[in-house]
Amino acid sequence: MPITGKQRAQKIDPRYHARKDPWIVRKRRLGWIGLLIGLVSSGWLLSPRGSSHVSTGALSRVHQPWNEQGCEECHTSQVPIRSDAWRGEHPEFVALNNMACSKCHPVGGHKNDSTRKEVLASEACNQCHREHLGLNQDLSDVADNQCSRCHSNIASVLERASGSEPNVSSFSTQHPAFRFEMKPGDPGTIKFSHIQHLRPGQPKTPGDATAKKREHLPTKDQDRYQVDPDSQLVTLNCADCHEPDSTSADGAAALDHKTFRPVNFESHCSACHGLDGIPHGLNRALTEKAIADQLPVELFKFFQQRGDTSQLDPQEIQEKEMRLKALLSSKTEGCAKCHQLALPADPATDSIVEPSNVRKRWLLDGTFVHGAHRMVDCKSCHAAAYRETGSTVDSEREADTIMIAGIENCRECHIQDAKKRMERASSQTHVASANCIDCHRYHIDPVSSLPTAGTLQ
Amino acid sequence: MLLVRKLNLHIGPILLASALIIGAAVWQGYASWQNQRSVSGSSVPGLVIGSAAAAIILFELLLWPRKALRRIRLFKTKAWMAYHIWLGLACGPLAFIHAGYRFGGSFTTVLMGLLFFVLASGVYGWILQIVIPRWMLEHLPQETVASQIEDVSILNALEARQMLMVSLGPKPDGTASLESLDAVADSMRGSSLIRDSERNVEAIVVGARQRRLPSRRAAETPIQGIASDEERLEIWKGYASVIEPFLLHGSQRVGQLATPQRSKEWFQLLRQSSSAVCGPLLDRLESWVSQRQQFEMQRRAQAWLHGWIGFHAGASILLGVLLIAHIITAIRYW
Repeated sequence: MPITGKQRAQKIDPRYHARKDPWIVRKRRLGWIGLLIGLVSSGWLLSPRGSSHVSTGALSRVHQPWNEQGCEECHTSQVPIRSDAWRGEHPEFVALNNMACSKCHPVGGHKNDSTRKEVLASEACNQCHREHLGLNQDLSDVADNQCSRCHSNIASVLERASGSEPNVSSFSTQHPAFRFEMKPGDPGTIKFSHIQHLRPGQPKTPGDATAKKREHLPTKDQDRYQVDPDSQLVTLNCADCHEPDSTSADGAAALDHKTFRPVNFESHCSACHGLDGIPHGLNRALTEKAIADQLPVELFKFFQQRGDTSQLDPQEIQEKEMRLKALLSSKTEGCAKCHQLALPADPATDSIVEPSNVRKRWLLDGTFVHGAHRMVDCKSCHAAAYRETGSTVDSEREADTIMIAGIENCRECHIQDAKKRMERASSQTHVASANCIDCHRYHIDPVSSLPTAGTLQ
Repeated sequence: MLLVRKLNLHIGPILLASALIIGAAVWQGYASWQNQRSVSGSSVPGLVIGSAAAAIILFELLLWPRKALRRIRLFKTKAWMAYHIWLGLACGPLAFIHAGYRFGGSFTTVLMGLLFFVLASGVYGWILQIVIPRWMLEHLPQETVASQIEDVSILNALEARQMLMVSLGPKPDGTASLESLDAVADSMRGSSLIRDSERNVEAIVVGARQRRLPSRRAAETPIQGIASDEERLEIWKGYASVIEPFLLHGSQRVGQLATPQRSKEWFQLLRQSSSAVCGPLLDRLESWVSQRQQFEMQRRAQAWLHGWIGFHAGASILLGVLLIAHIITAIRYW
């Protein structure tokens, strides 16, 4: 006989609801535990020891010590530090926060004279240098949009805009040409032909019999330069004259080397361009004295070669003297072979030649790191130096040509859009990013107030 | 329609939750686009969205005081629960949008993890609350009040003893001894609810001064004849060693009767060793065993049905407290 509902109900205590439900007891217990854990952990988080855990992300490696020293090293209580925070661009807060950074980073500003004051006053350090993004965050890796915030509409941030200032929003699509492209012409005064010097034997005209062979070089320089094994003609390459400004321990070019040391006559020219013992680089008076001093030496060498010093031919002496003096006065040889002669002024101090004005850097608004481009051939960017015409070179005219490729050449490898960069990588060997900070720097030097390398002029 | 009711598919809270999420995502996206990078929780949109998420968490926590003060009848329970569920679900995405789609540092990651744990436990409980009661209704027809399972089991055992005593006579020697039901009741909840006496077979509810008598009809003898001594011995033996321990303690002590299939086989063997006269008596015993099996199932179902809520509530309170700490630290280190 099945048990009826009434029979079942009779077995239930009518006051069962007055008894504590174990599930409710359990719920309350866990509620209290939650409250207790919450209070204890909150207390710990609000204490100095736990404060590092309230960080919104790990500090970058360079700021790791601040994990120990506490948030107050950078944060001021109840002052918004993030530039995108509510009231984060308030000049008073920005100044306060920037002061905390400048305690350790005394960097200069950026275009303080030409930028509107209210724009500068709202520029917080952390606008560009974002912290709390992890141990490996590179604080100097500033996103392009931080530059284009102002540069895409540059007139809006300038104190006095002329209207001709170029807007820049992207290297690939909106970036002005390099300055030397817009205003061609080399201010240098050295008459030098790269084309001639890259020819084997360096003849002015191809096939010239005066081409330089190994035997023409001084003994000490004969092993220094490359020589064509068949013709014995001296063959120069770029590195024979252009030495990197910094080298690694093994003497090779450093990876971060930016420019090259100035070409030096004694090191790079004298092997072929001897001055008959007259020192290079002296002013007029000293050079004339050196010529006078050098005459007896030259005569001695002459007679020594002839093996007879008994007879002094006045004509021979005069010829020697004239040849030495011609170093100064000739319009095509001597100093004038490479230099522009200066007009005589004060013989005691005046130079014989015009200053060379060889520019150490051409990309003045950007910092070009040659070391970073070591994988590409010099010809890739300096094709003009290799442009063999097959005819007699005109050193003077060629010297006026800037032998650096323009911005379009850079864009062949430097592609801003990551997707396009990947596409291009499948068809060419070298591709690279095109971020603003790859070439430009923001801050001026705080001590000299001069732009640091790559700061926009 | 029933499912719609059970799912709390109220158009108001669903629309409100959707509007909050879409509005927050659009606003944050627009601000990020303007700022050319994802704006943080301290930006104007971040603050407003974060405040909305915090307000929702506060509203969610108000469910507890509302239950405590339910006699005041603040809004309809169903409506409140619908807002509790749908706004609670919106809270996770809102918090994530507030944080600029980042988890941040260790504390904010823990906070976010805790929020998602609370949401997950809530959704889990919500699903269980829909599925399990329906399942219980279909599969556990003999379920009782959860807190009364032990009491009812003891009373069933008492009834079974009475029935056997009346039908078969006193327990013969050579069978396992029976436990004191009072001691069983004591051990189960620490206070004596049922006074069991071999001489005076009645149950007394202590404190309520109320008698809960075992069913008289149940105690009536179902045997329409005389069982042999062997049958008496066999049935008492089976009862004392297997059936009563199972009725009192369930499958934790007696595995033979744990499932319907196993108990059926066990009773089948007992029936084979006894005559048809004892059939009704064995049917009655099997019915109590079946009820106890359902109690076991009910206990497990109750654990599923209510087990999550303690964790949900505990984690919610922890989240609420840590949220206050987060607000304090966020203002301090803006």
